[in-house]
Amino acid sequence: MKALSIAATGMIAQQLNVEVIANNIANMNTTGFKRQRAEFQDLLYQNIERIGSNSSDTGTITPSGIQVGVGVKTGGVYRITEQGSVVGTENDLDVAINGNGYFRITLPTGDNAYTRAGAFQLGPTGQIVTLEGYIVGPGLTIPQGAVDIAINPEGELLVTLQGQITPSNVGRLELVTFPNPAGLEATGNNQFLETPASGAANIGVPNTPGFGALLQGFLENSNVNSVSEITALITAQRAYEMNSKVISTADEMMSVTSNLR
Amino acid sequence: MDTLLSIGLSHQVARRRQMDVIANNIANMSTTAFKRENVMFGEYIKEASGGASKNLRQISYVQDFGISRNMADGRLEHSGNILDVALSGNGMFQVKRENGDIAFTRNGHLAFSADSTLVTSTGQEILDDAGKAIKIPPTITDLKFASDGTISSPSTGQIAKLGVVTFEDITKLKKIGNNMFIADTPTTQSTDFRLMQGVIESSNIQPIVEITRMIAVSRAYMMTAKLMDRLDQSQSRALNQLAKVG
Repeated sequence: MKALSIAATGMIAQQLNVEVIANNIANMNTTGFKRQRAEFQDLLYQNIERIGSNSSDTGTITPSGIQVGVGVKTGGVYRITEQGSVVGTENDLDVAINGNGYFRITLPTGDNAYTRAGAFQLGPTGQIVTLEGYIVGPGLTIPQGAVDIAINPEGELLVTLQGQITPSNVGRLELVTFPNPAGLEATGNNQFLETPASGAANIGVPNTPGFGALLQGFLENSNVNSVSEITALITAQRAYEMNSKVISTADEMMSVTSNLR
Repeated sequence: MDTLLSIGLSHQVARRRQMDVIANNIANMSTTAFKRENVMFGEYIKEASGGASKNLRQISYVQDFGISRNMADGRLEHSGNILDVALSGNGMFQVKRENGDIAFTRNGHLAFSADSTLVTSTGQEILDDAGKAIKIPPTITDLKFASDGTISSPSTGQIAKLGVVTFEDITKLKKIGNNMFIADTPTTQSTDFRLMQGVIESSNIQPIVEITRMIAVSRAYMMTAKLMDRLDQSQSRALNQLAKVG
């Protein structure tokens, strides 16, 4: 009786589905979080009677045959990179990306990581760093005695020093895009790493074709939609229940068989 | 008497297979573009030996002779991903398998490979209307899929057109797992479809239908078991009573 193991694959799949949804809901207020979706695929098929096999010696063939599937598997959990809503914070060093791209940050190991969470701070020497203290590419430093910091949509950092009237340009924040952003590897802390699937990082200037514009004083919220997550959760739970029903029915059928004698 | 037992057995074997197919339908409730299946039963007639007229000697067994597939459109679910496309109506996408063969799928969850080719979620290239792989320039991030399958971007204009094909006989398709089908029959470009972006076609499983069918299957199975049990009882009673007469 394959029904038992088939239903078990169904339960495993729905369990993963619930986990993905739970993670989405848990990260509903995470800056720059992109919701995920589990995708399922059917497993192998057993050919009990092959399609197109002969059904008589005069050459007639069975048009449909018997193919019994053996359940479901998870094809992948992919990230939906839809833009999240942008929320005003009035903090000079909060930067949201409106459109495509990631900020590049340098990890303590010297490797690059990428993030869309633009809640930046100043490091001890005036460098722009993330909440973890990692330097944001290309590594800009705000001079001592700055009274006003402005970041324009093109990423230019304009600093007005004490006693100056015109702001001075101290550099430009860079954005990075990938051929396949869904292929980035999430490492937690809102950070992503480049992988062979994502393709090579493509560094560019904000607010130029292919790159998003920067918004100072705003943060990008998660793109989790609570209503659709809750309905997906209900569906997943019911599907899980139905698979367990299949198991109990298959079990009943087996017990009938074993009680025959 | 033994004939009755084997008729009952043929029924149970067939019902078990039907149960497997229902279990597979339910397990694939959330599978992208899964099409529900149903077992078709047929009568298998055998003539018993004996002197009675032919009609009286015919014994009919149950045989599962095929699987029918319901190719109706599945539910459309909004996913918001620009690389998710769903087909509504007649047709299938073509993908190139590792061995160079063409397989068919309605799963429109696409992705870019590292060299910016459009691929399915299992990494196979999806083909355009001329049967070639679709390469998207890597700088393009605002892809649009029109309802006829045309892929374009505001900055570069038309890039390619997704191939959507139909078959002379859709029942001849064979499932190979991973949401894919293979076919021996010739294909033609379909015109009878609409493509939607940001949407995913879910399975066309209706839980209520599957659960009622499952209940019916398990009851029928139990009834046959009961029948076989009764038969066994009456056989043993007959033996006991006959022995007493002697």
